[in-house]
Amino acid sequence: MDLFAQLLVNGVIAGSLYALVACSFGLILGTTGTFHFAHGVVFAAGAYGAYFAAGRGLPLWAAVGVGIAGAALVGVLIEVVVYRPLRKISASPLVILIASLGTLIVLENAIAIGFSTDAKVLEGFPRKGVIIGGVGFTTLHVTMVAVSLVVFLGLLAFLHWTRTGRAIRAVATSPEMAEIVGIDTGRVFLLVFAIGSAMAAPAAILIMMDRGGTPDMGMEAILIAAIAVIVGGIGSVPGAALGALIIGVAQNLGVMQIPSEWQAAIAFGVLLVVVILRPHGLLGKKLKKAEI
Amino acid sequence: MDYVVHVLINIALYAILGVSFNLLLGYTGLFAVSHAAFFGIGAYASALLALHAGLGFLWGMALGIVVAGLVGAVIALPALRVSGDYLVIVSFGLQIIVFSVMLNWQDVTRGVAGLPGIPRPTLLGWKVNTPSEYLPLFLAVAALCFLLARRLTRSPFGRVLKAIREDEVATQALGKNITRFKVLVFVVAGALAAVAGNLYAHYITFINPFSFTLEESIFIMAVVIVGGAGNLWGSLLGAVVLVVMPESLRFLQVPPTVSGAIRQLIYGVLLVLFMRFRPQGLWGEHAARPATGPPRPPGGTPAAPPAKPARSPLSEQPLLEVSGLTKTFGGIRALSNLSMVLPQGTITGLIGPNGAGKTTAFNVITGFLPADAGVVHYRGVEITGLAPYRVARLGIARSFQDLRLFQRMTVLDNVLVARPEQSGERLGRALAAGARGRREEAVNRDAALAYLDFVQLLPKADEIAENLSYAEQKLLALARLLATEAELLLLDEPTSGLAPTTVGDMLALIRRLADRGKTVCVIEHNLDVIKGLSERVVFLDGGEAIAAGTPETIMADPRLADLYFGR
Repeated sequence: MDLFAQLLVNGVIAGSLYALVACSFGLILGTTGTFHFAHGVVFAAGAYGAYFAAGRGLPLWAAVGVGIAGAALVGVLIEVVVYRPLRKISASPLVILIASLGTLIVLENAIAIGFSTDAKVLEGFPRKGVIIGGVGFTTLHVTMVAVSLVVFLGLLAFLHWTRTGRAIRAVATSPEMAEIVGIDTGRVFLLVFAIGSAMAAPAAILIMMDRGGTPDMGMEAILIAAIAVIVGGIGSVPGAALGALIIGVAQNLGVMQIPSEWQAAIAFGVLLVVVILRPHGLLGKKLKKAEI
Repeated sequence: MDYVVHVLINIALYAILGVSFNLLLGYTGLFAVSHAAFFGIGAYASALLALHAGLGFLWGMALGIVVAGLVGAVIALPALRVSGDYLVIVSFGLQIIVFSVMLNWQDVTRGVAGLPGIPRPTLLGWKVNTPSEYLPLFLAVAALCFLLARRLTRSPFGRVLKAIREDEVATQALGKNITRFKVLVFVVAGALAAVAGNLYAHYITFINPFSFTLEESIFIMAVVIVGGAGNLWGSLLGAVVLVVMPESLRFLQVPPTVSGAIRQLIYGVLLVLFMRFRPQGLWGEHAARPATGPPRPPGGTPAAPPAKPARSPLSEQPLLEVSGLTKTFGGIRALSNLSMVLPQGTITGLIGPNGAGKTTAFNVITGFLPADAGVVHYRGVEITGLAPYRVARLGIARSFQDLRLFQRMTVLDNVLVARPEQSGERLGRALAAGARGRREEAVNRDAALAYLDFVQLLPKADEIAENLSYAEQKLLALARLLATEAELLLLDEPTSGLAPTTVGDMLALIRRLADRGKTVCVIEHNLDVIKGLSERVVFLDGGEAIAAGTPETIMADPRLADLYFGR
């Protein structure tokens, strides 16, 4: 029983980090229609930005700030330099997706050249072990869940209760209609890339504090995020969070039966089951096939 | 010298991988980034056979082909349920699962440690040892794979693959079982990649999972994209460019610790730049088209559909009978107890206000939408619930409001692909095409040209469909429909968007079809058009056939006129 409880807690901790990446990826996909694979490297850029700043002697909180701002900047730059010109020539979604993969590879290897491929750890977080009812975790783990919850609720509140948030949802529903009622979709896209990128960075920074980060940390993160978004249903932010939690928990509970090195395979196993049984995802709207 | 040979061998290797992946990505439009998995399966299968069973090169190749082919079929199953972005993610998943198996199935693959000591191959008593002895073997196998893929892509089978890439719905409406084609192309592409894996394993003599990663799959994708998707020659060029270009790093004295990263960075930059400035690649699909003169007019073939003998007028049975058809979307009733008949050899107009369910009726009759209730009989046989391609094969062809042409295929190919019962659509026949296949192809070509002549598009036969004017595209859609030799033609607004003069041409064509024994049902908004075209009109409202009769009686009914004009 203790093992089960421990694994469940581990799953929630992992899932809450996945959720940050998944919600931000899902927000960008749902609003701009861009399958933003390079979001993985934006995520990694957040961690390496913080690591770089800490290495220059900045206090930890300031380094975290640098990491988040750096990620937002990289995300916005990718939108302006890569996606926007492609949208202007009405490139197909697959063309944009390939360009996104290319961007991911370029920046991931740029990080590898700048920082080497060895794992880097961001030191300095006051980490203490806690044991409650036979379940052990650290203060860093508590921080992970708390940060993820705050950011997630903040995003929902922003989307529903602010004027800008409603504009984002309008663009997500129909860019053409949003244009007609006077919303500047180009600016909304930029904003969404900035917010989404800034949202993903804390997860990466926390991972770098916990077990360290490598330049390819973004590839795994973005695959899990994409799976979570599809499992949860494209276009639903809570769905993305739910999908991320399911994958985190499934991977960790899976350890009871399956050796841990199969975790990546478990995530895709969940995906295959959902794709076959419920192709529109758990919380996604069912696609209408009225017009063939 | 050995260095040059090594580079050439690498080019041959990626040529095989690129050409086979091009079948999936470039020809069929299946964006499944998992080719390194097939490559790895081929390598592991032959390495294990050689190490444990002492079986040689050719046995390993055979087993690799079989296993990768089977895995291809298995991969195809989830891949068939999704498309576009979803397929990319699902294929990433399959790639990562295969990689996990190689990495973690220690008892068989030895995980990270890999499989060393794979013997060099012996062929017919000739032991291949040094790289320079290996090169001819690589080149020969690569050439064979290329020729095989080329034969496939130029066959009727390959034509259907391209049609699937352009428009799956339209391909089904022409009677093609697209599931079968997709599974088979996965099997073929997987098997060819396995051949590359076999060659690679015996050449390097040591394999471990890290040669078959997701990054490798993306690299193979880059070979196809940079070279040019949809053109096999492009993949050869892509292999040359992407293998040779990073080799130049050697001469720039880049430290070995970063050379791998720089290599990847280069092809990442290439991918982005190509998507922005040359998405069709260096040597894209239509660059490869031979400059042919205007097509010769079909010698001696009739410039109109061969007239089929009309059924004996004694048969009172209608060709198509729909009864009680109901279809709801969410809470909306698109069809509500729809009943109507289409008598043989007549033109029936289907009219009614917007949202009356006209197009939905076509979709349900042709099997694209399942009916909630009701039955459809064709020639007295129930066809309710049949897959669209089965309905089409029985002789019911439909057009689409948005045409759904195969945009990036030639006008002639658009029509050719629609021809029924082509033996070259079977994989075995496509690969082993002989004189019979060529004769059949010639017959189909003549028929296709005759239909193009019938709609007066013959001079445009070699044009790419997307370059046609809208009116020409509508004519092409009609020619494609006729080429199916279907008995019953369901036309969804054939005159919409046409200039008044062209409308007359289109109507004349449709009338000629009825004269030749075809049964036609036309969705039409223009009442004048209906009057001049059809002897029978069925009036739909709220998903129900509320009246049927001659155009004059229908139009004389004030109740219907009010409904139609929304008064």
